[in-house]
Amino acid sequence: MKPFIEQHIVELLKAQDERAIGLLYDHYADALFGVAIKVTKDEVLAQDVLQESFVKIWKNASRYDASKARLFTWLFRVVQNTAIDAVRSRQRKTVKEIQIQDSNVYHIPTTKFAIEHLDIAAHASGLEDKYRVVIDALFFQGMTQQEASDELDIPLGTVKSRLKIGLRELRKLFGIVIVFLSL
Amino acid sequence: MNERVKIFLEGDLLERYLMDTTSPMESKEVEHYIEKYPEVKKTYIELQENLEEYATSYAVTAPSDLKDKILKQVTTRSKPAIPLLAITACVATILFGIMTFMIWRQNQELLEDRRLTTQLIGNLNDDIVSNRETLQSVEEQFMILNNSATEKYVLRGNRHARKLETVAYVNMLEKKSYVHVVALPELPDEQVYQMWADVDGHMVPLDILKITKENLVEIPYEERMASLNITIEPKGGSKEATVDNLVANISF
Repeated sequence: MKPFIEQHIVELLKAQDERAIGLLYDHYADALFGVAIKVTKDEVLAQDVLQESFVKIWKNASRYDASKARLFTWLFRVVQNTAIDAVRSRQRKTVKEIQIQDSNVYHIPTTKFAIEHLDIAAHASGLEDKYRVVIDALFFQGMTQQEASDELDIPLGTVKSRLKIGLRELRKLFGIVIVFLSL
Repeated sequence: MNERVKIFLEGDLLERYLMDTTSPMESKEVEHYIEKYPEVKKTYIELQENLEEYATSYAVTAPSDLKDKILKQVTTRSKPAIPLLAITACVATILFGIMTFMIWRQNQELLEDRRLTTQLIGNLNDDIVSNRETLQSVEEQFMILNNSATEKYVLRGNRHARKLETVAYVNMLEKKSYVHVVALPELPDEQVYQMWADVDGHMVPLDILKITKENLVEIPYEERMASLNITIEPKGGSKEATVDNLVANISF
Protein backbone atom coordinates (compact mmCIF):
# COMPACT_ATOMS: atom_id res chain seq x y z
CA MET A 1 0.00 0.00 0.00
CA LYS A 2 1.44 3.33 -1.03
CA PRO A 3 1.42 5.99 1.68
CA PHE A 4 -0.32 8.36 -0.72
CA ILE A 5 -3.33 6.05 -1.08
CA GLU A 6 -3.33 5.39 2.66
CA GLN A 7 -3.30 9.14 3.31
CA HIS A 8 -6.05 9.70 0.73
CA ILE A 9 -8.26 7.02 2.32
CA VAL A 10 -7.70 8.49 5.78
CA GLU A 11 -8.69 11.97 4.52
CA LEU A 12 -11.87 10.56 2.96
CA LEU A 13 -12.65 8.64 6.14
CA LYS A 14 -12.23 11.71 8.31
CA ALA A 15 -14.47 13.67 5.94
CA GLN A 16 -17.06 10.83 6.13
CA ASP A 17 -16.85 10.51 2.36
CA GLU A 18 -18.40 7.17 1.37
CA ARG A 19 -15.75 6.64 -1.30
CA ALA A 20 -13.41 5.77 1.58
CA ILE A 21 -15.28 2.51 2.23
CA GLY A 22 -14.99 1.45 -1.41
CA LEU A 23 -11.26 2.17 -1.43
CA LEU A 24 -10.74 0.46 1.93
CA TYR A 25 -12.51 -2.62 0.64
CA ASP A 26 -10.54 -2.68 -2.61
CA HIS A 27 -7.18 -2.35 -0.86
CA TYR A 28 -7.61 -4.10 2.49
CA ALA A 29 -10.64 -6.42 2.39
CA ASP A 30 -8.69 -9.54 1.32
CA ALA A 31 -6.09 -9.21 4.07
CA LEU A 32 -8.73 -8.37 6.69
CA PHE A 33 -10.99 -11.21 5.54
CA GLY A 34 -8.02 -13.54 5.94
CA VAL A 35 -7.52 -12.25 9.48
CA ALA A 36 -11.23 -12.76 10.25
CA ILE A 37 -11.11 -16.33 8.93
CA LYS A 38 -7.93 -17.09 10.89
CA VAL A 39 -9.58 -15.94 14.11
CA THR A 40 -13.08 -17.33 13.63
CA LYS A 41 -12.18 -20.42 11.58
CA ASP A 42 -15.59 -19.94 10.01
CA GLU A 43 -15.95 -18.28 6.63
CA VAL A 44 -19.61 -17.32 7.11
CA LEU A 45 -18.94 -15.81 10.51
CA ALA A 46 -15.84 -14.11 9.07
CA GLN A 47 -18.05 -12.38 6.49
CA ASP A 48 -20.25 -11.02 9.28
CA VAL A 49 -17.14 -9.95 11.16
CA LEU A 50 -15.76 -8.13 8.11
CA GLN A 51 -19.08 -6.37 7.51
CA GLU A 52 -19.40 -5.34 11.16
CA SER A 53 -15.77 -4.22 11.22
CA PHE A 54 -16.21 -1.94 8.21
CA VAL A 55 -19.26 -0.35 9.82
CA LYS A 56 -17.22 0.17 13.02
CA ILE A 57 -14.35 1.63 11.01
CA TRP A 58 -16.76 4.00 9.29
CA LYS A 59 -18.44 5.07 12.53
CA ASN A 60 -15.20 5.46 14.49
CA ALA A 61 -13.11 7.04 11.75
CA SER A 62 -12.70 10.20 13.80
CA ARG A 63 -10.92 8.20 16.53
CA TYR A 64 -8.16 7.02 14.23
CA ASP A 65 -4.87 8.77 15.04
CA ALA A 66 -2.36 8.43 12.22
CA SER A 67 0.46 9.51 14.51
CA LYS A 68 -0.03 6.44 16.72
CA ALA A 69 -0.52 3.66 14.21
CA ARG A 70 -0.51 2.94 10.51
CA LEU A 71 -3.92 2.57 8.93
CA PHE A 72 -3.56 -1.18 8.50
CA THR A 73 -2.54 -1.63 12.13
CA TRP A 74 -5.75 0.15 13.21
CA LEU A 75 -7.90 -1.83 10.74
CA PHE A 76 -6.26 -5.07 11.90
CA ARG A 77 -7.04 -4.30 15.54
CA VAL A 78 -10.70 -3.52 14.73
CA VAL A 79 -11.13 -6.77 12.77
CA GLN A 80 -9.18 -8.83 15.32
CA ASN A 81 -11.27 -7.53 18.25
CA THR A 82 -14.55 -7.88 16.35
CA ALA A 83 -13.65 -11.44 15.36
CA ILE A 84 -12.64 -12.41 18.91
CA ASP A 85 -15.91 -10.94 20.24
CA ALA A 86 -17.88 -12.84 17.58
CA VAL A 87 -16.20 -16.13 18.50
CA ARG A 88 -16.84 -15.60 22.23
CA SER A 89 -20.46 -14.64 21.53
CA ARG A 90 -20.99 -17.73 19.42
CA GLN A 91 -19.39 -19.91 22.07
CA ARG A 92 -21.77 -18.56 24.71
CA LYS A 93 -24.81 -19.16 22.51
CA THR A 94 -23.92 -22.66 21.45
CA VAL A 95 -22.38 -24.01 24.63
CA LYS A 96 -24.65 -27.08 24.67
CA GLU A 97 -23.91 -27.96 21.07
CA ILE A 98 -20.20 -27.58 21.67
CA GLN A 99 -20.43 -30.08 24.50
CA ILE A 100 -21.61 -32.83 22.17
CA GLN A 101 -19.38 -31.91 19.27
CA ASP A 102 -15.68 -31.93 18.72
CA SER A 103 -14.66 -28.49 19.89
CA ASN A 104 -11.71 -28.44 17.50
CA VAL A 105 -13.87 -28.80 14.43
CA TYR A 106 -14.06 -25.70 12.35
CA HIS A 107 -15.32 -24.88 8.91
CA ILE A 108 -12.72 -25.25 6.25
CA PRO A 109 -12.71 -22.10 4.13
CA THR A 110 -14.00 -22.74 0.64
CA THR A 111 -12.51 -19.61 -0.81
CA LYS A 112 -9.01 -19.52 -2.15
CA PHE A 113 -6.14 -17.43 -0.96
CA ALA A 114 -5.90 -14.19 -2.87
CA ILE A 115 -3.55 -14.89 -5.76
CA GLU A 116 -1.93 -11.47 -5.63
CA HIS A 117 -0.65 -12.22 -2.13
CA LEU A 118 0.78 -15.65 -2.91
CA ASP A 119 4.37 -14.35 -3.08
CA ILE A 120 4.09 -12.88 0.37
CA ALA A 121 2.43 -16.04 1.65
CA ALA A 122 5.27 -18.10 0.22
CA HIS A 123 7.80 -15.98 2.06
CA ALA A 124 5.76 -16.00 5.27
CA SER A 125 5.66 -19.76 5.06
CA GLY A 126 9.43 -19.65 5.34
CA LEU A 127 8.97 -18.78 9.00
CA GLU A 128 9.74 -21.66 11.35
CA ASP A 129 6.67 -23.25 12.96
CA LYS A 130 7.85 -22.55 16.53
CA TYR A 131 7.74 -18.84 15.75
CA ARG A 132 4.58 -19.05 13.64
CA VAL A 133 2.48 -20.69 16.35
CA VAL A 134 3.45 -17.99 18.84
CA ILE A 135 2.75 -15.12 16.41
CA ASP A 136 -0.53 -16.71 15.28
CA ALA A 137 -1.65 -17.21 18.89
CA LEU A 138 -0.91 -13.57 19.72
CA PHE A 139 -1.99 -11.97 16.41
CA PHE A 140 -4.95 -14.09 15.42
CA GLN A 141 -6.22 -15.79 18.53
CA GLY A 142 -6.20 -12.69 20.68
CA MET A 143 -4.26 -14.47 23.41
CA THR A 144 -2.18 -12.66 25.96
CA GLN A 145 1.42 -13.82 26.25
CA GLN A 146 0.53 -15.69 29.46
CA GLU A 147 -2.44 -17.39 27.72
CA ALA A 148 -0.18 -18.36 24.81
CA SER A 149 2.32 -19.76 27.28
CA ASP A 150 -0.38 -21.88 28.93
CA GLU A 151 -2.01 -22.92 25.66
CA LEU A 152 1.23 -23.82 23.88
CA ASP A 153 2.77 -25.23 27.06
CA ILE A 154 5.95 -23.23 26.76
CA PRO A 155 7.47 -20.86 29.34
CA LEU A 156 6.41 -17.20 29.24
CA GLY A 157 9.98 -16.10 28.61
CA THR A 158 10.13 -18.39 25.58
CA VAL A 159 6.89 -16.90 24.23
CA LYS A 160 8.40 -13.43 24.52
CA SER A 161 11.67 -14.39 22.89
CA ARG A 162 9.98 -16.35 20.10
CA LEU A 163 7.71 -13.41 19.37
CA LYS A 164 10.66 -11.05 19.12
CA ILE A 165 12.79 -13.45 17.09
CA GLY A 166 9.79 -14.41 14.91
CA LEU A 167 9.10 -10.80 14.09
CA ARG A 168 12.79 -10.23 13.39
CA GLU A 169 12.73 -13.23 11.05
CA LEU A 170 9.64 -11.86 9.35
CA ARG A 171 11.47 -8.60 8.86
CA LYS A 172 14.25 -10.49 7.14
CA LEU A 173 11.82 -12.51 5.00
CA PHE A 174 9.80 -9.51 3.89
CA GLY A 175 12.99 -7.53 3.49
CA ILE A 176 14.01 -10.13 0.90
CA VAL A 177 10.66 -9.67 -0.87
CA ILE A 178 11.09 -5.93 -0.96
CA VAL A 179 14.65 -6.23 -2.28
CA PHE A 180 13.50 -8.85 -4.79
CA LEU A 181 10.63 -6.67 -6.02
CA SER A 182 12.85 -3.63 -6.26
CA LEU A 183 15.25 -5.53 -8.50
CA MET B 1 22.40 2.73 21.43
CA ASN B 2 21.10 4.30 24.61
CA GLU B 3 21.04 1.75 27.43
CA ARG B 4 17.44 2.65 28.32
CA VAL B 5 16.37 2.17 24.74
CA LYS B 6 18.21 -1.13 24.58
CA ILE B 7 16.43 -2.36 27.70
CA PHE B 8 13.09 -1.10 26.35
CA LEU B 9 13.53 -2.88 23.02
CA GLU B 10 14.61 -6.09 24.71
CA GLY B 11 11.31 -6.13 26.59
CA ASP B 12 7.97 -6.93 24.97
CA LEU B 13 6.13 -3.64 25.57
CA LEU B 14 6.43 -2.52 21.95
CA GLU B 15 5.11 -5.84 20.63
CA ARG B 16 2.21 -5.76 23.06
CA TYR B 17 1.49 -2.13 22.11
CA LEU B 18 1.36 -3.26 18.49
CA MET B 19 -1.20 -5.90 19.44
CA ASP B 20 -3.17 -3.37 21.49
CA THR B 21 -2.80 -5.36 24.70
CA THR B 22 -1.03 -2.74 26.79
CA SER B 23 -2.64 -0.92 29.72
CA PRO B 24 -3.25 2.85 29.35
CA MET B 25 -0.16 3.53 31.51
CA GLU B 26 1.98 1.20 29.42
CA SER B 27 0.64 2.75 26.20
CA LYS B 28 1.69 6.20 27.41
CA GLU B 29 5.15 4.89 28.21
CA VAL B 30 5.49 3.30 24.78
CA GLU B 31 4.26 6.42 23.02
CA HIS B 32 6.81 8.43 24.97
CA TYR B 33 9.64 6.15 23.79
CA ILE B 34 8.39 6.20 20.19
CA GLU B 35 8.25 9.98 20.20
CA LYS B 36 11.61 10.49 21.92
CA TYR B 37 13.85 7.77 20.46
CA PRO B 38 14.19 7.34 16.66
CA GLU B 39 15.40 3.74 17.11
CA VAL B 40 12.15 2.84 18.90
CA LYS B 41 10.10 4.65 16.26
CA LYS B 42 11.93 2.81 13.48
CA THR B 43 11.37 -0.54 15.18
CA TYR B 44 7.69 0.22 15.72
CA ILE B 45 7.27 1.11 12.05
CA GLU B 46 9.00 -2.13 11.07
CA LEU B 47 6.76 -4.12 13.39
CA GLN B 48 3.69 -2.58 11.80
CA GLU B 49 5.00 -3.38 8.34
CA ASN B 50 5.66 -6.96 9.46
CA LEU B 51 2.18 -7.26 10.85
CA GLU B 52 0.70 -6.04 7.56
CA GLU B 53 2.88 -8.34 5.49
CA TYR B 54 2.23 -11.32 7.75
CA ALA B 55 -1.53 -10.73 7.83
CA THR B 56 -1.53 -10.20 4.09
CA SER B 57 0.12 -13.58 3.65
CA TYR B 58 -3.15 -15.09 4.89
CA ALA B 59 -5.29 -12.93 2.60
CA VAL B 60 -8.41 -14.57 1.26
CA THR B 61 -10.39 -13.05 -1.59
CA ALA B 62 -13.26 -11.26 0.07
CA PRO B 63 -16.74 -11.82 -1.44
CA SER B 64 -17.49 -9.08 -3.97
CA ASP B 65 -21.15 -8.86 -2.94
CA LEU B 66 -20.06 -8.07 0.63
CA LYS B 67 -18.68 -4.74 -0.58
CA ASP B 68 -22.13 -3.75 -1.87
CA LYS B 69 -23.74 -4.85 1.41
CA ILE B 70 -21.28 -2.77 3.44
CA LEU B 71 -21.67 0.26 1.17
CA LYS B 72 -25.44 -0.05 1.41
CA GLN B 73 -25.31 -0.34 5.20
CA VAL B 74 -22.94 2.60 5.57
CA THR B 75 -24.99 4.71 3.16
CA THR B 76 -28.21 3.86 5.03
CA ARG B 77 -26.59 4.78 8.34
CA SER B 78 -24.97 7.98 7.18
CA LYS B 79 -27.60 9.42 4.87
CA PRO B 80 -30.29 10.38 7.37
CA ALA B 81 -27.89 12.77 9.04
CA ILE B 82 -27.61 14.94 5.95
CA PRO B 83 -31.34 15.16 5.15
CA LEU B 84 -32.09 15.78 8.82
CA LEU B 85 -29.62 18.62 8.85
CA ALA B 86 -30.94 19.91 5.54
CA ILE B 87 -34.55 19.61 6.71
CA THR B 88 -33.72 21.42 9.94
CA ALA B 89 -32.00 24.18 7.99
CA CYS B 90 -34.94 24.43 5.57
CA VAL B 91 -37.50 24.53 8.36
CA ALA B 92 -35.46 27.17 10.21
CA THR B 93 -35.17 29.23 7.02
CA ILE B 94 -38.90 28.92 6.30
CA LEU B 95 -39.81 29.83 9.89
CA PHE B 96 -37.44 32.77 9.75
CA GLY B 97 -39.01 33.84 6.44
CA ILE B 98 -42.54 33.48 7.81
CA MET B 99 -41.66 35.40 10.97
CA THR B 100 -39.98 38.15 8.92
CA PHE B 101 -43.03 38.37 6.65
CA MET B 102 -45.40 38.45 9.65
CA ILE B 103 -43.38 41.20 11.32
CA TRP B 104 -43.27 43.16 8.05
CA ARG B 105 -47.02 42.69 7.60
CA GLN B 106 -47.72 43.71 11.18
CA ASN B 107 -45.58 46.80 10.65
CA GLN B 108 -47.52 47.63 7.48
CA GLU B 109 -50.82 47.22 9.35
CA LEU B 110 -49.59 49.48 12.15
CA LEU B 111 -48.49 52.08 9.60
CA GLU B 112 -51.91 51.87 7.90
CA ASP B 113 -53.64 52.18 11.30
CA ARG B 114 -51.55 55.22 12.08
CA ARG B 115 -52.41 56.76 8.71
CA LEU B 116 -56.13 56.10 9.25
CA THR B 117 -55.99 57.46 12.80
CA THR B 118 -54.24 60.61 11.59
CA GLN B 119 -56.87 60.99 8.87
CA LEU B 120 -59.65 60.42 11.41
CA ILE B 121 -58.21 63.05 13.72
CA GLY B 122 -58.02 65.44 10.74
CA ASN B 123 -61.66 64.70 9.87
CA LEU B 124 -62.71 65.21 13.48
CA ASN B 125 -60.90 68.55 13.56
CA ASP B 126 -62.66 69.54 10.34
CA ASP B 127 -65.99 68.44 11.87
CA ILE B 128 -65.29 70.49 14.98
CA VAL B 129 -64.55 73.57 12.84
CA SER B 130 -67.64 72.89 10.73
CA ASN B 131 -69.83 72.33 13.79
CA ARG B 132 -68.53 75.54 15.34
CA GLU B 133 -69.38 77.43 12.16
CA THR B 134 -72.83 75.79 12.06
CA LEU B 135 -73.37 76.53 15.72
CA GLN B 136 -72.34 80.12 15.15
CA SER B 137 -74.72 80.37 12.19
CA VAL B 138 -77.57 78.79 14.16
CA GLU B 139 -76.90 81.13 17.03
CA GLU B 140 -76.99 84.07 14.65
CA GLN B 141 -80.25 82.79 13.14
CA PHE B 142 -81.67 82.22 16.58
CA MET B 143 -80.76 85.74 17.58
CA ILE B 144 -82.33 87.14 14.44
CA LEU B 145 -85.50 85.11 14.86
CA ASN B 146 -85.84 86.15 18.47
CA ASN B 147 -85.12 89.73 17.63
CA SER B 148 -88.20 91.91 18.06
CA ALA B 149 -87.31 93.76 14.85
CA THR B 150 -87.63 90.60 12.78
CA GLU B 151 -90.81 90.29 10.76
CA LYS B 152 -92.30 86.96 9.73
CA TYR B 153 -94.00 86.63 6.35
CA VAL B 154 -95.82 83.52 5.22
CA LEU B 155 -96.06 82.98 1.47
CA ARG B 156 -98.81 80.56 0.33
CA GLY B 157 -99.24 79.28 -3.18
CA ASN B 158 -102.07 80.37 -5.49
CA ARG B 159 -104.14 78.03 -7.63
CA HIS B 160 -101.01 77.14 -9.68
CA ALA B 161 -99.25 75.83 -6.60
CA ARG B 162 -101.72 75.36 -3.82
CA LYS B 163 -99.47 73.32 -1.57
CA LEU B 164 -96.62 75.85 -1.62
CA GLU B 165 -95.76 77.32 1.74
CA THR B 166 -92.68 79.34 2.51
CA VAL B 167 -91.93 81.51 5.54
CA ALA B 168 -89.69 84.57 5.18
CA TYR B 169 -87.97 86.34 8.06
CA VAL B 170 -86.77 89.91 7.41
CA ASN B 171 -84.87 92.09 9.84
CA MET B 172 -84.61 95.63 8.52
CA LEU B 173 -82.22 96.72 11.28
CA GLU B 174 -79.75 93.88 10.88
CA LYS B 175 -80.40 93.82 7.09
CA LYS B 176 -80.81 90.05 7.09
CA SER B 177 -83.30 87.86 5.28
CA TYR B 178 -84.08 84.17 5.75
CA VAL B 179 -86.57 81.79 4.24
CA HIS B 180 -87.93 78.52 5.53
CA VAL B 181 -89.28 76.41 2.71
CA VAL B 182 -92.04 74.38 4.36
CA ALA B 183 -93.62 72.75 1.26
CA LEU B 184 -93.05 72.93 -2.49
CA PRO B 185 -95.34 71.18 -5.00
CA GLU B 186 -93.49 69.04 -7.48
CA LEU B 187 -92.41 70.60 -10.81
CA PRO B 188 -91.18 69.10 -14.05
CA ASP B 189 -87.37 68.58 -14.07
CA GLU B 190 -86.84 71.57 -16.35
CA GLN B 191 -88.58 74.07 -13.99
CA VAL B 192 -87.74 75.61 -10.59
CA TYR B 193 -89.30 77.95 -8.02
CA GLN B 194 -87.49 81.33 -7.85
CA MET B 195 -87.89 84.04 -5.19
CA TRP B 196 -87.86 87.73 -6.12
CA ALA B 197 -87.87 91.04 -4.21
CA ASP B 198 -89.90 93.92 -5.54
CA VAL B 199 -87.56 96.94 -5.25
CA ASP B 200 -88.65 100.19 -6.65
CA GLY B 201 -90.97 98.48 -9.12
CA HIS B 202 -88.27 96.05 -10.32
CA MET B 203 -88.13 92.35 -9.58
CA VAL B 204 -84.69 91.57 -8.14
CA PRO B 205 -83.75 87.82 -8.16
CA LEU B 206 -83.03 86.47 -4.67
CA ASP B 207 -82.68 82.71 -4.72
CA ILE B 208 -83.97 79.46 -6.14
CA LEU B 209 -86.14 77.65 -3.59
CA LYS B 210 -85.66 74.03 -2.73
CA ILE B 211 -86.34 71.75 0.17
CA THR B 212 -83.17 71.45 2.28
CA LYS B 213 -82.22 69.80 5.54
CA GLU B 214 -81.67 73.17 7.13
CA ASN B 215 -84.77 74.95 8.30
CA LEU B 216 -83.53 78.43 7.55
CA VAL B 217 -81.64 79.53 4.45
CA GLU B 218 -80.26 83.03 4.26
CA ILE B 219 -81.16 84.92 1.15
CA PRO B 220 -79.80 88.27 -0.14
CA TYR B 221 -81.27 91.27 1.66
CA GLU B 222 -82.50 94.11 -0.46
CA GLU B 223 -83.12 97.62 0.77
CA ARG B 224 -86.50 99.07 0.02
CA MET B 225 -88.15 95.71 -0.55
CA ALA B 226 -91.88 96.24 -1.14
CA SER B 227 -92.81 92.61 -1.49
CA LEU B 228 -91.52 89.06 -1.84
CA ASN B 229 -92.60 86.99 -4.84
CA ILE B 230 -92.23 83.41 -6.03
CA THR B 231 -92.43 82.46 -9.72
CA ILE B 232 -91.96 79.29 -11.72
CA GLU B 233 -88.90 79.70 -13.95
CA PRO B 234 -86.87 77.52 -16.32
CA LYS B 235 -84.22 75.30 -14.69
CA GLY B 236 -81.28 77.33 -13.45
CA GLY B 237 -83.42 80.40 -12.81
CA SER B 238 -84.03 83.60 -14.79
CA LYS B 239 -82.69 87.13 -14.67
CA GLU B 240 -86.12 88.57 -15.38
CA ALA B 241 -89.17 87.33 -13.52
CA THR B 242 -91.89 85.61 -15.54
CA VAL B 243 -94.83 87.41 -14.00
CA ASP B 244 -97.32 85.10 -15.68
CA ASN B 245 -95.89 82.27 -13.63
CA LEU B 246 -96.25 84.03 -10.26
CA VAL B 247 -97.39 81.46 -7.71
CA ALA B 248 -97.06 83.35 -4.38
CA ASN B 249 -96.40 86.83 -3.10
CA ILE B 250 -96.63 88.93 0.03
CA SER B 251 -96.34 92.68 0.44
CA PHE B 252 -94.62 94.33 3.40
